[in-house]
Amino acid sequence: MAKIIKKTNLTEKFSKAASTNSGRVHVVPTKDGWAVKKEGAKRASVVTPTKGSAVKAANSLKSAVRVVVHKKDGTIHSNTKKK
Amino acid sequence: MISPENVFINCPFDNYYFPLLKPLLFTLIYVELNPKISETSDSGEIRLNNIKNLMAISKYSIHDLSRMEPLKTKDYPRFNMPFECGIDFGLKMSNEENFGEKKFLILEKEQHRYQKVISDISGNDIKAHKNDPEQIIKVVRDWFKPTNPAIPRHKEIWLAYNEFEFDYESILNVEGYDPKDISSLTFSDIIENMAAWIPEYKEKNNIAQQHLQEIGGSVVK
Repeated sequence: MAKIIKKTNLTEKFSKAASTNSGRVHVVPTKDGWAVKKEGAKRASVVTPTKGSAVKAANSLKSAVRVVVHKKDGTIHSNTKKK
Repeated sequence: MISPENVFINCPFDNYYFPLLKPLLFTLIYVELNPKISETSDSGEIRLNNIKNLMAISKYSIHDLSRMEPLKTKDYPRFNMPFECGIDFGLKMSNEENFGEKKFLILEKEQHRYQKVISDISGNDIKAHKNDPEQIIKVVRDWFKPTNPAIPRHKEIWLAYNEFEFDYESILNVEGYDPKDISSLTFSDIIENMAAWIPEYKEKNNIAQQHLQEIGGSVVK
């Protein structure tokens, strides 16, 4: 993005949050099922038909530290340490 | 001066619509467009002039007419969205020389409801988002795709938006704001924060480079 953004304290926090990778894996409802996506990966690792199987798949990823499950509007349903 | 990167947004400003407004803004910024949205604090005449000025600098407009009905049974219908939509059409039709290239995307919650309430807009690009945040990303992304081959699939934007939501909620909670309240931050703040977040996300995921490679190294605007 070519736009020059004046950084405020808050925008700095957003920039930093986007650039860091804390080993989170996101479980996201999509039109095709439940997507499991690692932070820092461009695409979903897997898409499963149920939320349960997606959470299980997220917990099975070696690099996962936390598993974040999203609601249909993108907000957070749960944020738990990997089992 | 009208700009092909500016997109005027006409939509309701309330907490019921906020779950759709955020992905709408996010999608536009993700595909490197500039959303133009009026802050609601100005008084009547100034606000209307600001709206007209934003329309005049935007080649594209998105008019969401999905919330014309009252929020509660005893409330009155909300005419702001169709009113502003009419002003934008008037601007284009009254001055084809300067505004003839303006393009409008009308959003509705169901595909054919507009025919019952505002049939004059038949023939325009009218898409239904079904009150679904993923769907609003898809219809907006699909509408802009012919303008720029580098625009990615809606799934990429939806997954990115979910990660943004995590950070949005986390940061606002730490800062003492309610992330579900549309008035916690101004629209300028939200746009700035998205505009700060998205390039870092793309860099982390090596996404921008990927798009350039997909279209042979050039971005067409």
